[in-house]
Amino acid sequence: MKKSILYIVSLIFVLSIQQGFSQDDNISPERKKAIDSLALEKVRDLSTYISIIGNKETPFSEANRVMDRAEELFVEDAEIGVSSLSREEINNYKVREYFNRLIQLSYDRVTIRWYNIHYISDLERQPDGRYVGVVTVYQRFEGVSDDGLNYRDTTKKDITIYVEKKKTQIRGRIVEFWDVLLGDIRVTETTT
Amino acid sequence: MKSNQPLVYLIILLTASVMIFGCKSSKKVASATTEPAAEVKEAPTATEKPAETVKTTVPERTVEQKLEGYFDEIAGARDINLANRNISEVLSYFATKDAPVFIVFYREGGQKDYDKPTDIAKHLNYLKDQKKNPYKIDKVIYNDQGKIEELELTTR
Repeated sequence: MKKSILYIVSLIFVLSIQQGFSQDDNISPERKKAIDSLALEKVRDLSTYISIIGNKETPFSEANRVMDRAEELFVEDAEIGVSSLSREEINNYKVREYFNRLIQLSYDRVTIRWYNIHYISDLERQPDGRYVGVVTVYQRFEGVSDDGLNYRDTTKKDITIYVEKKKTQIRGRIVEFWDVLLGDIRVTETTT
Repeated sequence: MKSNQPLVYLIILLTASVMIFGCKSSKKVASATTEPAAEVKEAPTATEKPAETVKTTVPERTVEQKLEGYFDEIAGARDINLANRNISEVLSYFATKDAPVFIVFYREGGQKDYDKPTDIAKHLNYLKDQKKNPYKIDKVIYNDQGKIEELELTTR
């Protein structure tokens, strides 16, 4: 009798643990698609922020505010790669440093446009519970100066995406949310 | 003279009939003119009534509708100053500019998936910067002073 009670209790325990795992693991394809879209939207948001920061017509105070918002999209210590047609090496800068360099570019007009934003590696669940994927973007950069200094290039960039379910307390209430953060942005190709 | 008698009768008959029909038609005209006159009199009432109906059937826009309008205007603002003016107006509806904004990006089986919570000031600037408003208002929570202290949005 004792043995069978112990067996039932053990079975319930194992099943409850399994259920606990499956609640975290089982994400329907529709839900996964919504998370994928949410992450892609963050990349598109960054694209707009970079365009605003680079735009010489953006007032300094606005550019600074936008830099703060854009920085919030990244994991701590993330880096952004910078390439040039005139040199082989690629320089990597911390996100804020990259924005500060971007705002100080010595062109009279700067336009930056990201396009063809897509996943090259789908978001996959890692053992630590985070989802990690890679998105590729193409960036068209054009810097034009009145004194004739012009530079144009197209770079292909890979952005690591981290998605994690987190909890926060707001107004005394625990709220669960999906945190999408961008990792390093690496330049993989630079063309005219 | 005798030979003119039928003609005289005819004239009398015609005159009489003209008088009779004349009176009838003038009555008709009279009634026709009075009736429209009555309609005209009624017309203002008729126009007033719909005006009253308009007042009662088209209620003043709710705060939610006003906010939706502001959000679209901020996202579609031609310049930063116009967007900032609208942002200031929207913030006056809120208890604080740090009022939390929750964004639901997916629902399944009664469960909501939220994006990272933000606050109203950041959200309004987001609309201004990104020039898009992909959300609609789902829930508004007011405090005792009638100011909004929490907003829940959902993707359209």
